[in-house]
Amino acid sequence: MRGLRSRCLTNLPTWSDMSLTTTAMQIFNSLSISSVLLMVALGLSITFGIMRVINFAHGEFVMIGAYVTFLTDRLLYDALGGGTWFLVALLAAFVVTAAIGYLTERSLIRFLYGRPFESILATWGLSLVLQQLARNIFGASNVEVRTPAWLQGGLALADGIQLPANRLFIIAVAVLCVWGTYLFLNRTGAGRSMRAVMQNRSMAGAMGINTAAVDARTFALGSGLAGVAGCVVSLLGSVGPATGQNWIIDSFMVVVLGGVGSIAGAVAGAVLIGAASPLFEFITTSSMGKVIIFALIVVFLQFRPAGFLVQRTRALEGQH
Amino acid sequence: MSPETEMLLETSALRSGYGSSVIVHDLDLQVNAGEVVAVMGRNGVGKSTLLKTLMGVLGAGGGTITFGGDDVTRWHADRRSRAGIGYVPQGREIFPFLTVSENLYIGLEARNRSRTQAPPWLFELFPDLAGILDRRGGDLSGGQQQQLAIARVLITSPRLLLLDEPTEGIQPSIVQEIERAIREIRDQGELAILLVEQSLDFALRLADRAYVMDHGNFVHEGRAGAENRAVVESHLML
Repeated sequence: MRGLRSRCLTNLPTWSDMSLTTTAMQIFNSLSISSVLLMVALGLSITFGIMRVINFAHGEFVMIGAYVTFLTDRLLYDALGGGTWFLVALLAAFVVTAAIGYLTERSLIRFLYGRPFESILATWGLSLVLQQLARNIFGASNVEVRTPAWLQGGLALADGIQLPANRLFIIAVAVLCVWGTYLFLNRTGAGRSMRAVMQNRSMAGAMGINTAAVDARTFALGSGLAGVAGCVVSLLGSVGPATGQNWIIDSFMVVVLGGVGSIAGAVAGAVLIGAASPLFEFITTSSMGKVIIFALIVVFLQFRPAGFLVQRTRALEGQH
Repeated sequence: MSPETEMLLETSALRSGYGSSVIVHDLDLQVNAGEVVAVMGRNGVGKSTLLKTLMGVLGAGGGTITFGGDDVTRWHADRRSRAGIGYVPQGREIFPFLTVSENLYIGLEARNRSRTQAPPWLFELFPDLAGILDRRGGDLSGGQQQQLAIARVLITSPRLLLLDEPTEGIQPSIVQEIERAIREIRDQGELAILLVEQSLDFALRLADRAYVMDHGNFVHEGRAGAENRAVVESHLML
């Protein structure tokens, strides 16, 4: 990657400039970015799918997960040898952010159902509050999380092509998160209740499902997934109060592109955004790349307003 | 009514509607345990609104609802459901992306009961469902959805079944199937049914008692049965 960004600012490179190695590395790097986007978007997608609340504070749950990882590093790095502290951090990031998400739903979000504008303002406010809180506790400047020894180095594929272990790990964690979410939604009673509420809230209630409890559980799950994303993001760079902000817009684009409440759609959207962003930023400039992506999404939505994977069924024909 | 019959559901001066428009007002209704009661009336007189209010998917604007001795007026739908009120809405409202078996067992899961606690006679009552358990609910025909909607409520062993237009938009052969199923449920005698129905003959064949509704309130109450058809019909004509 070194030098690519600065070079493309002055003259546009041709495809032949990118050697095979660079291309392979670029694809691999974008896959790891896609993986983070996917974990963030997954939580966003199921909370929006089930409660119709746009959560602008979702990025701050990524930040919380990252700071939990930082704290685990400071507290357990020496106590737990061999870098196992990072696995503890992964679990802690999920549990802590899920718990904070649960409390947020019970104390704030549940008063905002059916009120989209108020919910945008309130969650945006929450996002600012959480960022300021992080500044007060951890300071305005970014902090570093040490990379455990077993995530340094990489997997050598061929001469000159080495896949960094930390990025491989991020992809593996994302795959586990998607798989786990899929199993939870489809193979457990709690997951089926969640899908029932997503599909028809009032009927789910009439079947005896405690919809308020499902809402809180869903929000906790979505927040927990963001926390896991925050944990692995700490492997890619330093952690700061704005860490969540770096991911939230792209994750919203993933959800819009993929279709709300669809796991497969989120995967497709994340892979596409993760690959397209660096590509367009590479052949144009950083801000121009973003503009192109936005423009393409706007065009795409003219043809498929509900995203890639719209679920269709006879029962829904004539509705919406 | 014999003196030992037990009052299951009672409303007193019930009022309900959407926003500022009141659709059901000052309504008094009684359903006894094991009894089948029909509510009839033209389109738009408030029959479906009444059932929604009884289930709790629509909040009551005034009055009280008593079920099994408890004042349930302020209870959410899920609590009423677990107390024993089952609801088959107009349009069935099957969960479209859950499979037939997921739709069927969702009520048991909400009660933390195992699937083995499903009544053994359920598939005898609705034999058509046994062969399509893995299909998505949204892909079924209207008749299959109606049978599934009734079955997924019965599986939770409710004490009162609220049935909203079970024959609407369904082909005659399936209507016969559904009538047979409701008759079997009725003859078991453990379940009370409050039936909203446009088809006069269908309702009078099944019900013990009938109410006629107009402009959000009852204008007639009497025994059902074919011999009372003329009386009920005269109230519907008004």
